[in-house]
Amino acid sequence: MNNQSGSSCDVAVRVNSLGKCYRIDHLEQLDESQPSSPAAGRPAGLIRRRLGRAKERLSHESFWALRDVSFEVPSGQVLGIIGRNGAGKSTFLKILSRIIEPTTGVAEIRGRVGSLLEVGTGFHPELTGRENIYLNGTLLGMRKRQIDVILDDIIAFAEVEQFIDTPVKRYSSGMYVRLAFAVAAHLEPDILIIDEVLSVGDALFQQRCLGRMQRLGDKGRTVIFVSHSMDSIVALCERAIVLDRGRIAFDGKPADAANAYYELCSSRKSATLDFLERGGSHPMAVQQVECRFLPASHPTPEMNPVNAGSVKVEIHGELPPILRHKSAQLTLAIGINQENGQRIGTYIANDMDEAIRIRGANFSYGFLLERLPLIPGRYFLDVSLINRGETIDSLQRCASFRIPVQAGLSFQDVDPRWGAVSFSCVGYNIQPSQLLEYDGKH
Amino acid sequence: MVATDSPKKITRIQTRQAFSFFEWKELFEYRDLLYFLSLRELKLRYKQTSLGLAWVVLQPLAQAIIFAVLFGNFGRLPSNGQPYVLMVFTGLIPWGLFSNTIGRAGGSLVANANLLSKIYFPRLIIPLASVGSVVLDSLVSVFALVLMMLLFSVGIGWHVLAAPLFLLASLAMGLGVTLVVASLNVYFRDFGFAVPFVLQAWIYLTPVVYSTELIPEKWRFLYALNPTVGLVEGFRWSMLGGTTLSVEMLVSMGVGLVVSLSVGMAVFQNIERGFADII
Repeated sequence: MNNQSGSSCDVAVRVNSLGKCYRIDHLEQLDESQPSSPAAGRPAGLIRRRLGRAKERLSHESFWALRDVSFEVPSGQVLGIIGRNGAGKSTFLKILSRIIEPTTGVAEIRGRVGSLLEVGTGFHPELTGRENIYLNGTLLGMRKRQIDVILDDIIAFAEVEQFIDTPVKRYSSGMYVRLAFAVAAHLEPDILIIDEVLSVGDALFQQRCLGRMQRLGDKGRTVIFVSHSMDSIVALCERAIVLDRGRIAFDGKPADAANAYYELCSSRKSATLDFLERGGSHPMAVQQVECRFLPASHPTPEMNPVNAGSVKVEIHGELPPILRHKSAQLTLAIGINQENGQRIGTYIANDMDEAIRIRGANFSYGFLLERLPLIPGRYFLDVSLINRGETIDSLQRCASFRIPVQAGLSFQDVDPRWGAVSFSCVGYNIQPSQLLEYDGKH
Repeated sequence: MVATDSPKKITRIQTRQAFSFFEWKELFEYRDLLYFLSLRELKLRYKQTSLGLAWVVLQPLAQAIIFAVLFGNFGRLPSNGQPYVLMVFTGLIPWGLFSNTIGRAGGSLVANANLLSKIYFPRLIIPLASVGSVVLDSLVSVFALVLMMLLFSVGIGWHVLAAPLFLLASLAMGLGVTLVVASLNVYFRDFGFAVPFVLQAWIYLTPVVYSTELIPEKWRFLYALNPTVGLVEGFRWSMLGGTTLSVEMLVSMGVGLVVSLSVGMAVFQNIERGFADII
């Protein structure tokens, strides 16, 4: 990927072998390891050792949240950064925003940086809307006289004219978010760094914010943008970088980056499942989810994008002690979703008990989804483990599979608007004789 | 809409050297933030109080009256020939600047953890903003002191000109100690517990609620080694005149001032970059 590798003047951000190392202290002999104070926590460790808690021995492990990251962002580019939870996106943005220092490497930034890692930083409920605008604006690096000039625009954008001198604690949550975002949206730095802030506010407002961001890009401002939403990455960015375990896994076109990201998600092992947000009463029961597309051995030569392949899902885990009992009535459910989160189908397996009787605490369960009537594309898996109606563990988007476009098809791109189901259907030309018969019935 | 500064500044982000100079220029660029953060601090301090700023005077006044009754009336302690209440109230102003700075700004970094971990700005602004309310408090107190002096018909001499210097010194010394306390508090919250206790002990090592006359002549030199003695005695001398201010007190005050500010800045500078990792 080399967008205009011209003179160095055009580079807005240059990152060279950037790394950030955290130190994780483990308290041995205790069940839960404490991922407490990172690198600079030296004094705390010293004191704790000096206090001499004999039973808890401290051991350290370094963890590279970001390792050897290098790239350049030309001025005016809108760059997207994607990656799973814990891939190092936030660490990276925090280094670029000068909140934390890198352990290794250098980043060079040309121009004024505005960074939005949170909407409404410094907002205080007791202060009025106006006071919060000034406080938040100056925090973001604006001067008072600059805010004086754009104050009316901000108020209008946030649609809070009537309440501008009311303490924001009386605002509705929507008004609060709108006001906070309005200040940020009127910030006009040379480089804008945004972390997932668009996930707040209603759809209409989000659209307006996206619009503003796009205009920022048009004005030649550099935007670095982290998001989990592939839609907005593809829509807004000219280039995207995929981070995986602190390193750059992909750097290129947003659409390709999205695919690379899904590829990463599809092979989740227990270590990476740890970073997933979970629900349920024992959220570590499911430890591994694997899923693979198996192409059919004899593909049917049809014109429709019907795919006769099947999908194999394997789930491994360990049951919490209270469920290793015979009275447990376990069900394991998988849900298949489209890329946009729309659920396509759910399968519930009721014969989990059998699996446990065989394997004890550890369980392994497989699903074979035969001849899935789905159009080509990427699909995501949700997994839930349930006992008598109570959710033990639930994981969302924990794995994904891809149904490939069949060879010999005239179209390579499948439009998501076509839906998800592919019908088994035979097309034929109607013969004139049949046509007559049809007319005759009328 | 917003005027863009013409030459684009290049910022290098890397691990900082152990010793680096403080970026005063950057602090100056963020002066508006300092103003609004101080304003926030002030507004929140007196929000929903019906007496508002009156508390600033009522608190030390009540304290002065209690000590005057205890030590002046019952204990019959010396007070340089001035009314006891006036003597205590005068001492409480520089002491208040010193100790309230530490008390209010000492926990400021921890209290503003959300700001520190979400946005970049010169970190020094946080403790400085907490100091704003202390300064306002003492200005109000000074005004009250002048009223009290009129009430007791105490004349003001030429040495009143030195009063601002002693107040400034109290603030600066307090700030130096604050920087150490606030930075270490990020790592060990123990300071939050220790500081009020230490300050409580420290006030009795300083001639705030009693007069230096109480200290035997032979111990005076040792006594003067406490740099806050000079702050209080100095201010009292400049307002009320004729006290036991000595050269040793002034020297130790000067040394204490320089040491606390430089140690404070050094500690803050060195620990500052790790704040967001720890907090």
